[in-house]
Amino acid sequence: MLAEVEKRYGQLDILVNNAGVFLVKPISATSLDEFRWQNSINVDGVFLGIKHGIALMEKSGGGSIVNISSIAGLVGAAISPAYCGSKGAVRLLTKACAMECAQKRNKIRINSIHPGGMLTPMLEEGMAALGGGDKVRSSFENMAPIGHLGEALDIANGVVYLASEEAKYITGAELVIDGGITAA
Amino acid sequence: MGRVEGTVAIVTGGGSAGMGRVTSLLLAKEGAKVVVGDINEAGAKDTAAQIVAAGGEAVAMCHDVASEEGWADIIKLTLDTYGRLDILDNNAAMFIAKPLMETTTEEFRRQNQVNVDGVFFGMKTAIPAMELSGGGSIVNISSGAGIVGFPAAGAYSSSKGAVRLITKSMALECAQSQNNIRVNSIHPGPILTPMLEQGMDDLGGGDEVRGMFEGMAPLGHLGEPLDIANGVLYLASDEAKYVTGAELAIDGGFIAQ
Repeated sequence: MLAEVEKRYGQLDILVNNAGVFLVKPISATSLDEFRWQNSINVDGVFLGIKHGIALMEKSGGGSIVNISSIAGLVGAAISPAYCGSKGAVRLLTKACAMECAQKRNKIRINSIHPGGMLTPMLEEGMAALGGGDKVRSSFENMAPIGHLGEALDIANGVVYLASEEAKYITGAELVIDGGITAA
Repeated sequence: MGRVEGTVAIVTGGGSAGMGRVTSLLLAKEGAKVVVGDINEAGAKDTAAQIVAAGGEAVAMCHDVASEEGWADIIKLTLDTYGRLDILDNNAAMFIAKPLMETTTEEFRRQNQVNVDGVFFGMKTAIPAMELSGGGSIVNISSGAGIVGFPAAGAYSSSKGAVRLITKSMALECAQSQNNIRVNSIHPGPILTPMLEQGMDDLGGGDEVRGMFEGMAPLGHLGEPLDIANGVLYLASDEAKYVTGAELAIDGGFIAQ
């Protein structure tokens, strides 16, 4: 993919590591294969993206990487321990790589975003896995002190801010967009 | 169309040629009418004049954030002049650069009066005005030193820690009352402002002291007031409508280490 980007556009400035999967299962029911699958996408995916993205960004004179973690990477959620573990890894992988880039003075900033309950196909699938219906949905809505789910645009706005030059002094930071969940 | 078009903002410490002035100018450029408060009235007037000269709308006021009466006055001026209040940037602060063992009780209290009481009074008086306007956004300027300890300025660090959690508590209180007001904090690292320059002088000045502050940030240099102003703009705007009780570090990586 990066070879294609380089061939077609000659540079890479922004990488949004957005892809993720959300395994909704208690730890007792989570198989080792499922745990590894969760991490292969949510953590290995970010690792590979950062590692190879940086190389092309350095050739482009710098850049900004935004990793989508989760509030489940900040606090525990009983419904999805494997997901929490993977998102916690994204949080600190972000900070460590941000420090590495800062030391190298390569002008690459790396930050994480921590969404709360956002109405996305991934969350809808997770709600369905928990039995679906109004009760499950309102349990996610009520998680947020603000009283409703967020929308994808709320996260997109955060990505644009961190990706842009407006955030040129921000690296290794975590931007929480969660309607107040983790403030409590 | 500006990113905060049609809104009315109060910026405290807006007369200082640091974050306050740059934030006031940026909010105005993006469509806000700005009430510039500062204990230094001449500085506040200068900022307001710059906004007007650039085609924006602003008024200036001599305003001491540590005075509850002063807050009643600035809210009244805001509502009398512009009829609403949407954004409050609690930016005014002081920085006592001293180890705690050398800090007098008087200094400790003064530090908290400005940095903590000021934020408390600001939120308490602004929220009813924002409720009348249908909601709003409050941005409290805390510090990286409000998240991690800072031995060069212990009283400052303590006051900024208080700002961090008064922000979260107020955000939750507003969420509970469903009043459409968001409250967040920004945590600047070492930003080249008159306040930091004063602090560096207090610590003896010179290249060594400056190098210490530059070295605090893994990025290896000081930030500039615009870096903070951009964060205030993001949090103040509807772009951040799902962000409340959050802390935004703009610190060149300082607290990520």
